[in-house]
Amino acid sequence: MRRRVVVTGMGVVSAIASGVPAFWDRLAAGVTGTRRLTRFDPTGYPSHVAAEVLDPPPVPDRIGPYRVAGIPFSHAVAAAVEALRDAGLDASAGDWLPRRAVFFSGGCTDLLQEIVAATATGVAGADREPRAVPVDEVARALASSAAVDDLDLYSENNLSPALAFLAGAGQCHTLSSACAGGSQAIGDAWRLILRGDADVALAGGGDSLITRQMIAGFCNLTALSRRNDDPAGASRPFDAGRDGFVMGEGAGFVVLEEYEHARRRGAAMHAELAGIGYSGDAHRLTDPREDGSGMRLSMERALQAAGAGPEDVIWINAHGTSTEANDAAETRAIHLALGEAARGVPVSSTKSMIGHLVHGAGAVETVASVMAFGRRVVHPTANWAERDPTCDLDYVPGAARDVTRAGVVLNNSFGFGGQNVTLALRPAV
Amino acid sequence: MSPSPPKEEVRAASPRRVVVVGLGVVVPVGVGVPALREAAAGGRGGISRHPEDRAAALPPGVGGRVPREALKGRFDGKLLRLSTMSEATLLGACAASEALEGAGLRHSDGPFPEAGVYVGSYICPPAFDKQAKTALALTERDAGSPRGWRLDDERLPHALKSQSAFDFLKALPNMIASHVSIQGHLAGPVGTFLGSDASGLQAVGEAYHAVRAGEAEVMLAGAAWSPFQEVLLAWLRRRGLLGRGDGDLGTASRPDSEDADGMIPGEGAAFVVLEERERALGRGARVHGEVVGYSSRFAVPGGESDVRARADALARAIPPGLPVEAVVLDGTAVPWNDRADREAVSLAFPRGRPRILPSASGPCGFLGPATGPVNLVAALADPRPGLALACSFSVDGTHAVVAFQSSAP
Repeated sequence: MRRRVVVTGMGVVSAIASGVPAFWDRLAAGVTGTRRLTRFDPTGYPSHVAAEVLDPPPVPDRIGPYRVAGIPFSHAVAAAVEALRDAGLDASAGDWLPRRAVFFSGGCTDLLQEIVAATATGVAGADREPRAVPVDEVARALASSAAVDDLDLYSENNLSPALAFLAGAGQCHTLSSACAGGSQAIGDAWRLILRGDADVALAGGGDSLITRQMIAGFCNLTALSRRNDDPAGASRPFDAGRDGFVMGEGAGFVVLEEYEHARRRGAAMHAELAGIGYSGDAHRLTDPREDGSGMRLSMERALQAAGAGPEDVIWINAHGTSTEANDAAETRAIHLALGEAARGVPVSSTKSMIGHLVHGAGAVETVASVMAFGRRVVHPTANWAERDPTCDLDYVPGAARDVTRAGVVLNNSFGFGGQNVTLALRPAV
Repeated sequence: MSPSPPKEEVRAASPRRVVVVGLGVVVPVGVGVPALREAAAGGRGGISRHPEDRAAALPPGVGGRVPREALKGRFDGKLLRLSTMSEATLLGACAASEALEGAGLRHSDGPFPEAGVYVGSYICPPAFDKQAKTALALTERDAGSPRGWRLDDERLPHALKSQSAFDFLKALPNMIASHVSIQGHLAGPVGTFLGSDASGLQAVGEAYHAVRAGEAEVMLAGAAWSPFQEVLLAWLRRRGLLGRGDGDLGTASRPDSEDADGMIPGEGAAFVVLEERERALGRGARVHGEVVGYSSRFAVPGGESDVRARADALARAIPPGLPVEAVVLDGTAVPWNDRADREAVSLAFPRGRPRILPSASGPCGFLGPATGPVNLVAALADPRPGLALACSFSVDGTHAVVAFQSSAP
């Protein structure tokens, strides 16, 4: 008999709230967390808006041998601790249980500017301005610069092992599939449990690309919203006036568990992860296929893996970035995947309220997706006001809506470079 | 010689078998599988000294570099542009191209949804000089700050003019997989594994399971890495992982030797094409071997639990009842890590160690996440009977083992 995988724990850190109950409350109320960026002065950039976590939860300085510092690291630890507690799992640090795993999708922490600035200031002495230090001299001085040690805080180095230590996990996987990474972490954990190589997995993602370098890069790609005079309305997925996404930050985790394992220990089951669908666009580095065929395939595969059909879908938590290209292609893909059923399915974008968490997006949006079962409501798409001819579905404008029937929720995540992931969730019964 | 399988094993049985139908490799001793075999037969090394004016900024001053002229014409220039590719992506695109071509799977007529790609990678910091110039232009001394400096946002508009839209894209770790998927029209699962030197074999192992579970019919899997970036090498040195690099270049990288003193960095890439066996046989593909097992384990590095985790990874990768004839270890040349490797093999095979095959990290330098896939490709290109294990036991505590059998020569 095929094994089943259920969600027994959740944790989240986001711009609108940290902690799942408050996060759900604010999503349901349509509260937006997009504001004028405060971490640095954005005046010189085309985009001045971000969804920052202004009141992050406290976290320990260390987890075992691992230093916890910096924004992506501390957000991820806070969300992971909440998820493990929610699941009623002991941290079991140091046990390295072989049937417990961690899957984390992390970004590319941007520390190079800080490392260069600190090293240049160190070698400049009193007589020179740091910016007058030649690049070659900075390069030669790096090996004696303590600032370089901050590379430890790159997600892909110490964060996943720290989470494995926290969870007592004997398997550790770090994934980087851009905006689809958080969902892929959860999907890969599902596969591991399904095939019998683990019983429990802490899976999710976190990111913060609210740095000078990354904001500049995305501005140069003209991917960010320039609605600087209306920060709260800047992220408006599927709306005719959308002009780009808003960079967000935070982290989300779920604890996935084999059904019988969860039942035996009496764990609360928030939902069942019934299927996953992966596909690639094989098209362009920054744009999806306009015809939505890659996205369609991931949705169809997720439904097939869940043993469900288009008529079973009760809500789609869309990738919904608020970019011209994504939202139109995703709408087309939903039409293709669901056919006639598409017009009757509500489609919401969590990014309308918390911005785009990149590697963390799919994970946080999975937590949001479970709302349909935990609260029996689907959250609205904030800021949706005007219909775009290329986006002609029901995007849940204005207010949350009650869930009136049982069925499957699809969570879409589509990444830069053409990586598509869809997760299919249903009530755990 | 095989250890007992773990007692709690509940892995689902699958009738689908997974064979290797394509090999591709780019390493300092040669570009392409024939060149790799030739170099191995001739005992040729690939470690060279960095130019004198760069050596101090690129510790330890020597490394395994792939000659760029050897890469010309090795990937599809109509589909991929050099301006969007990092060094690792360039190496990966060349190795992937060879693997797909050898597999007879060069699709040129649109998306190939039954085929995907998994790539192992590691930190890919952006090219140093350009980014450092931007950072320096913003740096301002600030006595009032505990750090003694600040980044001056008023200079941002000027500094940003030097940034290309693709500069930061190059640094995204998933860009290797994205480029390769575009090159091969691979529209199945696309993923990137990071986090340790084991990520290359994690990519191969998870690709094996994707085919085995029926999520894909074909998977391109492997890794690419180019570590010659100033901040990355400085960080490895500060962690005490780099060797001295002095003395004879031919013996600069000395994995598993008594006087090993650390990694000599090398760059490279390797890919295998995995395919469901019946499909491969049905289309008459050349079969190089079969992947028959995979496992991955984690423990905090350096202690007794780390050795046990490595041994457990070995045990879990082996299909029941199959004796292990050979093992190939990454061979970082970091003394404590090589010692833990040896102890783990002894623990896993108490009745006698299988034959230990030489690692590419000797002649090429340590290839990071690409080491495991390069060793896998080298072993499949030089077939020998029996079950073999390719192992990446990383200094970060994540370990991966892929079990495979070569086809008869």
